[in-house]
Amino acid sequence: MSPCICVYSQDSTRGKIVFKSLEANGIEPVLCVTAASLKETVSRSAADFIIFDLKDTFWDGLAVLRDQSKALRGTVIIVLCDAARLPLLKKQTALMKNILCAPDPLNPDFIVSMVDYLTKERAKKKVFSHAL
Amino acid sequence: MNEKISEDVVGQEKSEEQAEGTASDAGPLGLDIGTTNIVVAENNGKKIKATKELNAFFSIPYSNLIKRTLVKDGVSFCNKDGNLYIIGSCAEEFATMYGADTRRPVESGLLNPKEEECIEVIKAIMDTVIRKPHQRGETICFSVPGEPLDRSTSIVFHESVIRMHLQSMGFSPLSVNEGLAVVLSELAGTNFTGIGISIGGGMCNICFSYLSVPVITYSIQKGGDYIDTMVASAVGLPATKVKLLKEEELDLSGKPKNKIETALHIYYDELFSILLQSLERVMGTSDKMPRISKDIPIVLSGGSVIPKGCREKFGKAVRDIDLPIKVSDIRIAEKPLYATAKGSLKMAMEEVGA
Repeated sequence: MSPCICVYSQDSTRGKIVFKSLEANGIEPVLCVTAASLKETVSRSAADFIIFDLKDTFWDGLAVLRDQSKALRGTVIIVLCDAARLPLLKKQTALMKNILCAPDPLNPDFIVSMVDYLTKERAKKKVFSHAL
Repeated sequence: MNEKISEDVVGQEKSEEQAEGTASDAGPLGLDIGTTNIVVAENNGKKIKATKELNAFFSIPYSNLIKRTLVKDGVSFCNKDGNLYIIGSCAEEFATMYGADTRRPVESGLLNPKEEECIEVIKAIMDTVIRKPHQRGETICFSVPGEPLDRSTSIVFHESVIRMHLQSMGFSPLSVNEGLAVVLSELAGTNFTGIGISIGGGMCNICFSYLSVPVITYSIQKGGDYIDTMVASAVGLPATKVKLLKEEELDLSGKPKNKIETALHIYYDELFSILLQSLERVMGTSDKMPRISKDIPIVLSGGSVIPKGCREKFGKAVRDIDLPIKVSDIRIAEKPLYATAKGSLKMAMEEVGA
């Protein structure tokens, strides 16, 4: 079964790149371009994964990320960010156990293989580990 | 006299009905507003039909007698402020008759600021080449240039004028970047990933597309006209004469045989070098570039890539630069003059779910 995935990016180009890459691999994600639409989407149906782009909205995005991480403990959140901000991101998200980081340059193949791997792991264990 | 050239863009056999475009025209339209030509593409069920018209005009002082003659001969024209504006391919014939050059409503890819009547003229040419919508709100997708790299001008005015006129004709218009249209037309085999470059008369449009997402789009305001002008000044010939030689005789694959060909080789090299250096710079500094493991193709379209040997010359220039992606191959569009209109049509069809 195809996982339920939300792609959240305020940068429409980056969002669409990730969206189309997943789509090309048989996954049908939902693309959200605002925090409000992300919240609405995940409140309607629980997402297995959120691809969360922090690149251009680091501090504002971080606040949304914190909320979502707390509210959606069963969801794996793959965070895309500027490579230079990775140490800061790791520090800020140290207590969030459902976060994975994928720093720039944006690597659609890597994101797809990450989702693929985690989906298979999930199928094996039936649920996601919260201690990723 | 209003010559329109119909062509099977996908190369299937043309039926009389389809060639005449009378019975089965249906569905959305694709439109390419170029500096030199305006091309309309339409899907009539089995294949794509394209119609091309010269984007030029020639003005003569108004007289009732001339007007009646033009009407009788089926010449396309519009009438404004005491002048008759002969439009499309007929303009070239009149210009030759008067020993003068045609004028252009579009220059360097955008509405010509030097021509007072450019808006009226381009509307008139569009009216001759675009059929009326079968129903109000029919979709038409038109190509727009990328923003010029040096930001010396903007595409907003140009795009808005075209959009408003299409709306007034009863269409529901949407726009597509010209470089992306080339990708949509030619790179279905790579899932619309690659670099589409349209080298037209007035400008080069460049788009790096990833899975049909236009990641990088821009234009440079140099194209075939630049080559013609530079060669003309180097060899002391009129630019129109150079253009004719370029279009009919030029072979870039061999050594130049005379002074004009030498100059044409030099200025093709220069244009490709300017274009590729800009591509190297833009791709190398963009923070939007994804990491791509596969090699990607470059596809060239537009009237300026028609001369034999263009692909090889461009390929040689590509080897001199350092792009952040690996190029798998360089292709020339199947029909270089029609690729943008065909890509625009594909976008329109996608929009309406056809």
